[in-house]
Amino acid sequence: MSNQAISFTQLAAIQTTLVSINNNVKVAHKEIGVLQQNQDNFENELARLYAEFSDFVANDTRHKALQLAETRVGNFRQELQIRFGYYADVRKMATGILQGADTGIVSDTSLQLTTEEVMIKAPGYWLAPALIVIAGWLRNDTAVTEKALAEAIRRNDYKTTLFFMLIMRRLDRREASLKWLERYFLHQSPHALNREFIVILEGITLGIFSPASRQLMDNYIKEWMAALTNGDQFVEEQKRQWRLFFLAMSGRHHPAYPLLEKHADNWSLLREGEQNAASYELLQTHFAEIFKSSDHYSSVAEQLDILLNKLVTEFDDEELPLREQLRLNECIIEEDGNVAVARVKADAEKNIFQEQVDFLQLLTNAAFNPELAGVNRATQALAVATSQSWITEEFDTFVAINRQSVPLEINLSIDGFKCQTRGGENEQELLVTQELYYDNLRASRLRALDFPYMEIITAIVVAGGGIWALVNHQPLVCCILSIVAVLICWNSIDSHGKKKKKIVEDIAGQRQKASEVLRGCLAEATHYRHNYAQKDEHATGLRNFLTSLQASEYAGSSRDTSRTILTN
Amino acid sequence: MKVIEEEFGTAGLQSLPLAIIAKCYLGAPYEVHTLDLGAQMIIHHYKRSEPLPTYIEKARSLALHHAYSIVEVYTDQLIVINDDGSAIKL
Repeated sequence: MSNQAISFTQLAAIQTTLVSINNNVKVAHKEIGVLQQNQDNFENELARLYAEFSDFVANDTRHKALQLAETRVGNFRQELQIRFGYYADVRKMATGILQGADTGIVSDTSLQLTTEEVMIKAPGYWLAPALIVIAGWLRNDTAVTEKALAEAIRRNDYKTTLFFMLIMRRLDRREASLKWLERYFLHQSPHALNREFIVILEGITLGIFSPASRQLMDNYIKEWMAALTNGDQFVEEQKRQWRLFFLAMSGRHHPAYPLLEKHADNWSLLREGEQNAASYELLQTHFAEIFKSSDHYSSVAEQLDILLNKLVTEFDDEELPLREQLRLNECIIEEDGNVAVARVKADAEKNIFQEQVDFLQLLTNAAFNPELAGVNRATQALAVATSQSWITEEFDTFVAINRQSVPLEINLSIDGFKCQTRGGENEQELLVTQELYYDNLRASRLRALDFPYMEIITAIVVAGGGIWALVNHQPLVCCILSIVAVLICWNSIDSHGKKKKKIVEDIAGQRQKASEVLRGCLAEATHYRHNYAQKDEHATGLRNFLTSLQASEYAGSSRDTSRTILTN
Repeated sequence: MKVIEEEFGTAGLQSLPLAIIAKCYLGAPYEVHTLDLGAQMIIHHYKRSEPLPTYIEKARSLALHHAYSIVEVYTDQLIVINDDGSAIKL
């Protein structure tokens, strides 16, 4: 061990180095602070840019989807016109011939020539021979009439049968109309009805059938309903579709609670809950609208013409694939380019485009989209009223699932402080708990702050050097070392004090900010519960409305009788 | 036992509800209570902050809703009874 004395110059150098290190550390601390600030700013800016970019991409995607859908709608309509345009001319002739025959101003020859030309120009189309039947019948040409009738039935038995049932009713030949109707029902199975069966429902709501025909239909329909609702299979399928329909009505409302969105851990459940609850009002309006409006037609002949027109125009199966595509793109336009929502909506209506459906499905189709199903509002109302038991059941389930999924407690997480509230009612309690949290945080941070023992030891060593210098009669060195020791000691204690003060100030700032955020969150929680309860109340209103529906109130009474005879 | 038999007929033990829960009208701090299988006797009142047994907790928010009178908790489903007596299977 060498006894090397520390010279005055060396001590001075040590002191200079220590001061320099101290200054460097201060500068480094300052720079780290600036860097931290820059990083925070950068992260905030990046988050803002990301949000803007996401919005831009979403808007751009929607805009492009909308443009594409508009173009496609045009293309599909054009294709329908090109491929089936000629059918439209033939269709117009059906009611045209009848109205011509009503007035008696169209000659038999003209009718014969025109209908025969149609037969040549529309090969395979069932309506062409059906028109020849009418023309042949009007001029009493039995041979041609029978041949044409056989051909029309061969091409499409059910449509031809319905067509002549309606024509016989229009001509007020009730017996013949009833026979055609009996023939039609004999061939129908409630498990596989053709789409045109909807015309029968339409006729019921319009009250155009004679009492005998109406009785026949009522009997069949009651029997079918009993058969189909006996097991769960068919009703469950309808319920599934109504669930999709209810879901398609959700997701249009965007709850705005910025603080809860940022600080509630279970925000996604809360948002979904309010979105679903918002659909109750939409559904209530939707159903109320169905039962509010009714179409009005002046005479039975006019109503029958409308039905005939529907039968010949809206139920040709070969057009269905194109019409389905067209509908999807129309949904995209209706939903302003939101493809996901449009697809859910189109999926809910998908069964409308099936060639054969069961009777319950037919009711659902009429209830979902009367225009596509080819019915008026009154028939839609009848379909909803007939289906009300499973619509109500499914709506009850939809509402109960939603009520169950909305969290009772809102879990908040603010700057590391975690707490729960239902609707902001425990504000005082939470503010006190938050105060305690920050008190504990401050205490733990202060505990974690190291006391500058090393600097104090250094100061003691330097002071020891000063005593050694005094013993060796070097007062100047002693004086300098004492000053250095005091400086080191004072500097380190001062720095420690400043750090403590900074921690206290930082925590106070955090506490102030977090307290404001907590109050904001609790205010939003109160609004959320209030808004949710208001929206949820519509579910009760809609349920009461649905359970009050009676199918018999919406089936129009026959125009042929003005009184009801009660029999025991 | 007689009440249970009247209520649930010949149902086996497996198909009986694990619990029946309803809103408690005693007021704060109580919010729900469990009932016996005849839904006539209250078994236990639960306070707002008091957790229900895990398998019943999922029925708490439904039991609290004013639209429902009771909620039956089964191993694989919940049956919610409306005020008008109709049932909803979940």
